[in-house]
Amino acid sequence: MARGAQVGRRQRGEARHEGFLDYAGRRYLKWASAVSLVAIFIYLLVDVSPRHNGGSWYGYLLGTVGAGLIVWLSLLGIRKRAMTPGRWSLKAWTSAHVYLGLALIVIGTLHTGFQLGWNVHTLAYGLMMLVIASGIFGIIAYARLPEAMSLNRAETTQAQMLDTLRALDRQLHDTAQPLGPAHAAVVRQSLENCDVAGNLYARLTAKQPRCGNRAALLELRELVRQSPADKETLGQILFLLERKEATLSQARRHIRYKTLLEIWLYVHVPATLALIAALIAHIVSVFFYW
Amino acid sequence: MSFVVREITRRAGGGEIVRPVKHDVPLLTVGRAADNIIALADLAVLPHHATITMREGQVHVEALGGSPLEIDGKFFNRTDLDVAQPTRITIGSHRLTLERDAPAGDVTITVERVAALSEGAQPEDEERIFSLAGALPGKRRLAWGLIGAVLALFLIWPVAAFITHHEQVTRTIRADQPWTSGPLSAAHASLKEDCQACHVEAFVAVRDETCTGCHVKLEDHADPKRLLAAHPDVGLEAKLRSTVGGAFGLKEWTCTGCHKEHEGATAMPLTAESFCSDCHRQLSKDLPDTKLLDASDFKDDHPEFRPEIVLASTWDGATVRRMSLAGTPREGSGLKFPHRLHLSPTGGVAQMAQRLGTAEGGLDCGNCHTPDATGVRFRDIEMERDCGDCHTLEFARSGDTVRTLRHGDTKQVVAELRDYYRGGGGGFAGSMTDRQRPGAGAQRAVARGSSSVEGRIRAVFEEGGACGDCHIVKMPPAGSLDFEVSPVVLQDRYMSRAWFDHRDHDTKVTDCATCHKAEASDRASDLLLPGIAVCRDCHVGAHAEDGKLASPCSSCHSYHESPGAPRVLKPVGADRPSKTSVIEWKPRTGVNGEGARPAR
Repeated sequence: MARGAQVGRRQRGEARHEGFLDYAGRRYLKWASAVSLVAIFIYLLVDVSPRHNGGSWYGYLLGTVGAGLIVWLSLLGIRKRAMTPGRWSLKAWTSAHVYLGLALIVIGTLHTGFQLGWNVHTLAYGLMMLVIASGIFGIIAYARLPEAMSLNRAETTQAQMLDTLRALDRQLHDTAQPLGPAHAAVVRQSLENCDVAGNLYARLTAKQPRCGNRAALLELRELVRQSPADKETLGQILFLLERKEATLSQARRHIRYKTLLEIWLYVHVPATLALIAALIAHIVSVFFYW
Repeated sequence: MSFVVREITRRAGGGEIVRPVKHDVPLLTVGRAADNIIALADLAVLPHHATITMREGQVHVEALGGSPLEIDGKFFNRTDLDVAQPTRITIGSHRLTLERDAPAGDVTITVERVAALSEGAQPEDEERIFSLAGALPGKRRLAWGLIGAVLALFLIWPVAAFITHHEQVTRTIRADQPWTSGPLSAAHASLKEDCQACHVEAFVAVRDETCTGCHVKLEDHADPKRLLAAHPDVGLEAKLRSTVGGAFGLKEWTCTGCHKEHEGATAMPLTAESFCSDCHRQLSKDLPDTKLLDASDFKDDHPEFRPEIVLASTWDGATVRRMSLAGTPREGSGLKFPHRLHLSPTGGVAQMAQRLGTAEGGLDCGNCHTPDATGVRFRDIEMERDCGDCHTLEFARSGDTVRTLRHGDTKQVVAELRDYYRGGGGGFAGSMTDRQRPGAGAQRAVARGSSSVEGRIRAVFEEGGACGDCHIVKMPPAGSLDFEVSPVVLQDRYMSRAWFDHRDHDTKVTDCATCHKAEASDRASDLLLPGIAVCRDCHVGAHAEDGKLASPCSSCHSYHESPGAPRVLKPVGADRPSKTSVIEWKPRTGVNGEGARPAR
């Protein structure tokens, strides 16, 4: 029995998807940890004069290794356009990209010798840390958000969400035809002043406090409470507004997840290229004023 | 004359459907309610919004709900219309175009929806809505913008400024400031606005000529050939460093090899101890003809001090030699001086000092030895100033006139005394006062019955006489007064290769006797310098231990030989008076001046 259970577990394990974080038994995590520890060990061991910074022999060594790593890491942007399997697969490359990128925190920081200032050298360091931080954000987002996104979407496609909203708008419009001008104006807010996505902040928070649909819903509820006129039509419209509110919430949560999955790349990629530019300026300036 | 209403509906797949309906009535009602002739399914339209009438061929419109009608961009509550030309009335999301049909005279009203029924998203908006591309500029544009900004600000501008740099131009914002790798040391702070003061040529490491452009008086440590010969093979790391550094144009044995800049706005960092000990640890092996002894650490590996000692002094010159204190060398200053006698708290000297009011309870060091202007060392002993209070050279008084022997001029002394005694003068100095001072021996000679002038003069020079008390005098044969007094040579600085600062060893805290055992010295030839063991009571090697002071080589020695103090790193927070610096330099003429800048 026990044996059977084991086999069953293994079979489940084999069927399971192995992500880039777990690739090859986290081989590159081990490599990156080893590189970092060796770098720290040498940093503590060697006595450079007058003190550690990028200008000591060890500083130059770390700088060279770090610059090489940065260039290699940034090549993922080109490498990812060609998917290949096996030892040099894109997954292996991505795994190494993540873990060696994290090792760069140690290498880069030791290279500075903790001497930072308002200069192009620290600019390059700052950009590097920004790239790494955005990368960490990206990994967390990739690890946690797809499941939540899938739960929220519940088999609905993006096009279906938009279709539903359009259909609701049409129903609202048709149902509201008999209404007097005051009530019609309330319904119009939902039709005319309701953006699904909104600006960056709205996308990140999935909140649009000034959304016309929400305003229409609240005002109409109040109007219904105050006067019994047009009860049937208004009740129907309230139902439609509530449905639209629910659909909007779902769509906006979806947009929020997608934004979180995308936004780190808007930092990671441009900051990487800015970092390479700063790195060139950093290296040239060092040798220029040698 | 009637109305023809043409309602246009757009199909989902494109194209339009037109339904013309003729109305033979003089009045058309327009509104959202179904009972209107022109019923607009538009929530922005009032149930009964407007009327269009025709009277005697004239078209008239009127708004019913109080909200004016927009007719060709203008607003009216009621108006007559000339419909010979197309006239547009906008109601909510709909547009009514009125135009008279020329042959029949009918008025055609084309009704169409011009705005979507809601602002809701269309299928083609999916990408814009669900992807960040709709809210942010593209990554590629962002990246190119950043690359351009970084390269322009931090590379192109500084390089361009360097190429076009005019030395006399002072800029408020300097393009190359972001290139600095850290603040300059306090000593070089005035150069911080002018990177090119030191970084003269692009891609060429700072050269020695640039440093010596200002530091004009720096001595070389030794002949460069001997420096190279003395430099030991210091291992793989140094070899590798030198090879790689050489490939990048970094030379060895340059100023910048030891003096690191851009390490913070404090004093320049001290050169590591190993810099000295690498060579001096085994100098005798690498440089067999050297006179220097090996040393690598003050506590563990440093020879006994070898001060420069006056061995003998003649009128032709003094013999001065560096000798180790280990051999208890004796000094030949030409003076007789028992320190013990002078410092005794109870003897005759103490009593006299008390009588004269010089000192209570005996003399101390400070009665004779006074610090020099810097406080680092002591002034040379001058007989009249430092000894004369007790060892007076006054020898006679007539009325208010006091006769004094001239110190240091034997012939003058003999002449003065001869004149005095031949002129009938009697006695000697001691007798003119009540004080029994040194030199009273002459008086004893008188008492012994030596009444000849020669005898009396001889008594002054003899042991116990005013001169012979302190000086070694070679007495002439009888009949001659050609006294020969040995010259006195007192060393003013025993250790010229090292620096010792008495201010750092404040006598208020440390008694002189801690280091100088003067109370036990009976002879002037006793060298009262402390040996290295005394220093090691408080000083250790490069790193502090057991509460003792860290004393790297540079505490006492300078690399660039100089009579001044070596550069010692000022301890943070320590209240240390500023010293005479050995860093002599020629000031530059202004920040961008040409004065000290070597030609590019």
